[in-house]
Amino acid sequence: MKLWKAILALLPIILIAAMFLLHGIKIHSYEGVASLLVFLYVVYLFFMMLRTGKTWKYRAMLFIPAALLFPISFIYHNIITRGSMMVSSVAVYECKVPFCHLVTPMLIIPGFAIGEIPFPGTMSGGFASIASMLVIIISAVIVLGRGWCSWGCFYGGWDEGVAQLRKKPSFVFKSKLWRLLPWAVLAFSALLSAYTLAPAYCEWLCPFKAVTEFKIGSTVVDIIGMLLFFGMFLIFIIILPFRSKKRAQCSFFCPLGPTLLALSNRVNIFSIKIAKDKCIKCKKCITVCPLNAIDEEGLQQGTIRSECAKCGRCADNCPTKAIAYHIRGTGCNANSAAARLLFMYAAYILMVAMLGTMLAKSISVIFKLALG
Amino acid sequence: MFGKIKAFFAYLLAVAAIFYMIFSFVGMDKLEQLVLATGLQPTAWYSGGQPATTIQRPGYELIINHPVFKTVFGDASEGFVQFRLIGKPQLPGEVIETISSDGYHFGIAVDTAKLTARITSSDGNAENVKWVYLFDDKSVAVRVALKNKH
Repeated sequence: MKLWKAILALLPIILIAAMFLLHGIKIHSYEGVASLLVFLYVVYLFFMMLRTGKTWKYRAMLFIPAALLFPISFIYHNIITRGSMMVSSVAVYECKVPFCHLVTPMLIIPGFAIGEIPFPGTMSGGFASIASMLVIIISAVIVLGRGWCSWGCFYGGWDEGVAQLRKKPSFVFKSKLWRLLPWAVLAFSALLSAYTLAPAYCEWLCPFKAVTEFKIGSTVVDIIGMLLFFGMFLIFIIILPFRSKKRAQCSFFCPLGPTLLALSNRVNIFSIKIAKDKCIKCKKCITVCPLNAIDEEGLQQGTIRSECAKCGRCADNCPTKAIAYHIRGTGCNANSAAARLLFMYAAYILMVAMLGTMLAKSISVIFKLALG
Repeated sequence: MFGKIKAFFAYLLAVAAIFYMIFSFVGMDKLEQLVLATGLQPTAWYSGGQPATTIQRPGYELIINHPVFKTVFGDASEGFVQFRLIGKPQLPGEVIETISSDGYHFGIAVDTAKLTARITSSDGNAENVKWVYLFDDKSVAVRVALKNKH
């Protein structure tokens, strides 16, 4: 994109980023300095997306650090508010545990059946209340479908970051059975949560518990739970992403993204499309897709699986520009640059509001801890 | 022609999606109200259930909740009743109370300093004290296991 066009297209993001990051801040505070730095950073990244036409690289430059640093601000918040990273029984019974989007699938059955949420969080007010997190996740899914997983999720950057550490994969997810795993995780979590009225995934499986919060291990059951969290973290966040260069947790072990959010992709306004006539079947897209959303079968038919999180890596790497962002209903010969720009606005607003603000908080905590 | 109209509405929807994305953060309070209007609540197995009775005592307030037995698959055979003692301004060391809620009755002695409690009399349904905790608001919460008599 030409420089003047890029600057013009950048203006809305400057305003929106200023609204989310700079509104009401005191510049002579750690929060103020961190917010200003993140503001400049997010504006720079969006400018580069526009100028270079590359989406994935600049998205990842916010997505990965925001996720890696998120535990710092989260744990710091927990230490300030309840004196520990651990979840105490009192915090559970007072319903003061921060809600996370991964719980969403587990509240469907109890929510419809008896109007109760199997999670010890607060409905409204306070940090990460159930209502506010549900608003964010539902809105993100309405607008972006599974785009949430690449533009809004504050965990996804962990396995995406680890997946970038080596040049070539030493392990390939060949078996189609892997695709069934997230559905099995969803079924296990949803049914066990309905039966016990407790968030089964959070209590037994979630790898991110290892870097956020978990129950104090005073009983054998608690200790087994802790070992499972660290085990899952090691397998799905470190070993498998490192060996396969894929987002293993997000592809196969998340109860939300590869299942319910993938379904929402089927009706979402924004999608990624392969132009069959331009495709030279070089299979580069299959290699680089971090979520295994493109396979050979799909490539022959010119389709991308609904697991796509619209990160743009396939489009960036396609040598013939056969893969591009698309707005459903605009026809085969629609303007893909316009589709990309509209998608990027929607996705980047979510990214700045979620990950930008989280990154600013994390950096301000680092300033506080380092400088006193 | 139909294709052009369809494309027009598709672009319109994409633009609307951008504004909705902004609104979902700016208008969070309003959208939260929609979630709250569903009546969803954290399960009573965590929150302790809804208050049934509030009794004023000299120096403290006693809030007794409804007993909790409800699950997705019908009522459980074992549940609990939770009550809280809120000091005004401070709780006495030991409190002897009779807890009555939805037909369940038992006597209990709560040591608010040591955070211990013991059942002093029971209608046969109060089984044992599950826990006693000091909440952040300095109230003492007690949960007593109940057998479902229905």
